[in-house]
Amino acid sequence: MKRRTLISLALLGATALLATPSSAETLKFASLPTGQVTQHPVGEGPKTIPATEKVPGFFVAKPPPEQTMNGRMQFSMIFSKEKDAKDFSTGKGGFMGSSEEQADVCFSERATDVDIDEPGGPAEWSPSLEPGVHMSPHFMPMPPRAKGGKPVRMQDIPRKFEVTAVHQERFVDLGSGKAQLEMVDAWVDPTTRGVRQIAKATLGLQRVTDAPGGFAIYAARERTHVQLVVRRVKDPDATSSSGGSGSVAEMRRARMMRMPLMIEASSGTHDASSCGFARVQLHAEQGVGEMAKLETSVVSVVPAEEQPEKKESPLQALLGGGDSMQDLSQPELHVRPMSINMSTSWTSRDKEPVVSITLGWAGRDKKM
Amino acid sequence: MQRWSGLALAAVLGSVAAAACGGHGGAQAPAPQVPAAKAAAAAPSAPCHKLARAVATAVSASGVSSTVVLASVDGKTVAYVSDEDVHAVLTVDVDGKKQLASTAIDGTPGHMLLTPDGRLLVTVKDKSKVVALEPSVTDKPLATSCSIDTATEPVALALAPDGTVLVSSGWGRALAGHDGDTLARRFSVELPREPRAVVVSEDGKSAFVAHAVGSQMSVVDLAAGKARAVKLRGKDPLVAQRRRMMRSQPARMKAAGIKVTPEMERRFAEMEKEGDSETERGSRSSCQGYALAKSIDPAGRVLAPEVFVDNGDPNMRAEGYGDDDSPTEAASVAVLDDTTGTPIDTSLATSRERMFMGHGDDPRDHHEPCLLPRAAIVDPSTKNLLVTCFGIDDVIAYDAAAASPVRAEKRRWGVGAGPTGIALDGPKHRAIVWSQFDRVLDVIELTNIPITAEKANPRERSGRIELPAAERKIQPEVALGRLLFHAAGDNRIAKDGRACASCHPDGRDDAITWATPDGPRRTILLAGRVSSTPPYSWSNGEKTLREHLSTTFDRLDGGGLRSAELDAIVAYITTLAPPNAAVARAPKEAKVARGEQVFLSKEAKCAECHIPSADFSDGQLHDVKSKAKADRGDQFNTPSLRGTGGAGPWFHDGRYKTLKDLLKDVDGKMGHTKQLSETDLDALEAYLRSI
Repeated sequence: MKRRTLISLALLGATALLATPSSAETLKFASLPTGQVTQHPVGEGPKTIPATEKVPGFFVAKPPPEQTMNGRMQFSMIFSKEKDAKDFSTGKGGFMGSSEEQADVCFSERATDVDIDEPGGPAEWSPSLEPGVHMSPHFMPMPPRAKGGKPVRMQDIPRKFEVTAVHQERFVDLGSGKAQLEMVDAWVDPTTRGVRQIAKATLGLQRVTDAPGGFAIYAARERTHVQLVVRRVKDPDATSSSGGSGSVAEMRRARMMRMPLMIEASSGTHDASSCGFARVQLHAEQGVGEMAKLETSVVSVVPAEEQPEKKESPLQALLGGGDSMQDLSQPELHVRPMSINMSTSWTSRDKEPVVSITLGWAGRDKKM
Repeated sequence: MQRWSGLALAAVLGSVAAAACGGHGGAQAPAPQVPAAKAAAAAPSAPCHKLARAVATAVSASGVSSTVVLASVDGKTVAYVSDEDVHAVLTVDVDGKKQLASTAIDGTPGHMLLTPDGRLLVTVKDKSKVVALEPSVTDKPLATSCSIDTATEPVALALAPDGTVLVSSGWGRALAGHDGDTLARRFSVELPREPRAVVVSEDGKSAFVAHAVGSQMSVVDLAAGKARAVKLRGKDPLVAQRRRMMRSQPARMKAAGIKVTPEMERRFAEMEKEGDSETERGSRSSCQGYALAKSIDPAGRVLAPEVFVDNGDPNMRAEGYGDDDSPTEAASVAVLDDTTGTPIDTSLATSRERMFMGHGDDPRDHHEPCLLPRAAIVDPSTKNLLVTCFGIDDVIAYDAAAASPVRAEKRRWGVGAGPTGIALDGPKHRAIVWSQFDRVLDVIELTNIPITAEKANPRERSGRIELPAAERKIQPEVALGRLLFHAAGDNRIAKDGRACASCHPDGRDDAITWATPDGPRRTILLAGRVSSTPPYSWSNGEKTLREHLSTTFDRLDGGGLRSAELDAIVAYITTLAPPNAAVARAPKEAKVARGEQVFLSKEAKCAECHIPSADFSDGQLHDVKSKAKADRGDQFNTPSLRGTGGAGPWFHDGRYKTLKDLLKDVDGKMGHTKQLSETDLDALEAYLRSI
């Protein structure tokens, strides 16, 4: 088999602190750092928030007129940087902010996959993290449709902007395998652009293992949960082996690396994080087991000098384009789907919750 | 075809006799000249006793049985292989990669277990016996030490910490405990249908028994001799979630200041009821419970590979078999707490559709699911749960520490066709897999290699030990039929990857009532009853088995097989032995004889349609007042009663959970049973269980 420069292997050399990316790790629950995460507030929020109230890191922006279909589409965006908010409002910036790197500060809203709709039930923040939050007017609840009755058209359902709770997570790499997630929750009034803080929390993280493709996996414990964070890490060696910044291969590789991280929660619902990291939380209580899966693509680089010489097909020969069809100066990129499976379970004979992380290929290796 | 099958069977029986009379060959030449001992269990057995000195010691003592067992004998690592085609236990030098000896067995050998004193216990499925063999030197056949009688069809063995040998019997529906030295039976516990693998809990108090059908596991209290059923039904977490959200809707409306009228309350209640039905539909049957394994680290977990089945709504008609809108079968591994016997809920969650955007339609992009799991072990060094899978012929490594191992697949290896058994060689970090259909042993290296070191192809090949051809073989056509019957993932048979064996495990039935184009239909037992009972299907639709197969594959949206392949499947299923052959051969007890009298009596009228000389069917349609809501017609083909006693629930829609319920309820609609005393009803039931 051809030798292949795997990004993860290059990554391994980058730091001695990284664990070997073996296909499974079982973590010692008691040795994980502890911390807190915020929870979605229970009960109603304020009806309105004065425009003068602000929270650092929450910048509300209205779209420029050309993005509202002549005012028919109403929405607001929240960014973590003031410049991104200004750029968006003036039509200079996009929905994802200005950074070319994947963001380390991201937002999410209330999860819809837990018992949030049970009166008094718990509430969680969605794992779908975005560099910017898109806020639209909420649909008002509707009475049930009578049997045989006409369905209500979407445009006939009354909608209104409401003060909404928004969650922010900031990943801070502290070095030496340690990191922390800083969380701030706030009520945001899209009408006034006022923001009021609800809660703050910090979760200390320990880097527990790595996955191919430039992923570091961190863990922490918090009350009756295990918090697991999968973060993309910068990989200068991979950039170098793909031809360096500005090369076509590196641009393609970087684009692939910006694809969202797909998350399958224990409940079976799917989320996606467009952020530079994704967080999942799993219950760690006696008699309970939970699993979450994260799927992504691992990009590997085959340097030009290691690529097999391709034979020219008769058609290529006829067309005279044989040589141009294989650019031997460019490294070849391969992509392979990988799943990171995270699990907690606690049965009668376990002294503490069993926390397990498994890596596995979810498909075959293909040329990009 | 029938005549051909008969000839084939005669040839098979002839070769069994030849094997049985083979005697000691004495030499150590490779097969087909490998030495063969006198067929074990042929003669009256000597009393069983413990061996004074163990010549063979288990390489990695697991206390559970398999069709391949590793032992250390004379410093060699030897694999004892249960070869059911050859009716022999083969001795194979694993490192030397050659067969050393062959010990003939009088019957079909199944699982084996090495006792601490070095005896090799072998289940002989079709003789209802367990034979104790004595390994001595590696290149000679094993000597038969003794044998014991068991309930019908012993399938698996396990060793309790106190030395008790447990034997599960498939058709006999029992778990028996035997003294570890004398093998005398100490107790027997009645179990539900089709028990298979057995494992004993860490504390030795409970035995867990898998069931091939019936959506359950049995947990047997070994001190009290009592069994309880643990339901293993798949649950769709999203269905329950949707229902919770619907239930909360009135509260949400009130919170938003919207008035909820009594009419709205009534409609919400209706919707919740509909939700109940949806929740019920979200609960999946399970089957294919053949294998069990115990997790070592973390300890105290029983891991049960199985398959969740969506049989559709039997109150509705379906286009094929089951619901067209959801995957019919999903692989699963249930995780049970061995102290409480309760499953971890997450392990019973039915998995959702694939989520990754990079997967295309190319089947090579996906891992075929394990729809026919057959054997399992845990490797403590890598925390791998290794499951062998028929059809796709892979060994899959799952994370044994995961709450739902099937959602934590680590890697897979390609092995020979029909991997019936797996054994662990802990010291050498490898597993040995026996594949019956190809008659090969595969050696899998189990080092916990980094994922990056794996080859680009997710299905890696393993090392292989080829065995010499045996004198006794199954017919090539039957062998092909067996392969096709178990071909999971073959879209010529079923678009969704189901195999024939998915609904007919071991050629029997899955105990499931399916939604079909004709209405609700119970899967029919095939083994031992198809060759002489045309026409086929509950509706008498097809005159030949070939026609019936074509209709079935069409309903499964399969592309269809070639003519020779259809013939091969027919050849295979017509040679399947009836599962209760040993019972049918036994002398009739008085109760059974009385039951036969009742069955044949003019008053009861059972035999008018279930004609004994015609395999208990008349091949005719009858209206027995059993039309169900979704049935197209009201007349049904008289099913053969061969083996019916062990194949409940009964009737075309599975409406009767017990035979007694059926016998009492059908009076006037199908024969007459009202006049029968309880004693005669019992006798009739006993007779039905004997045929």
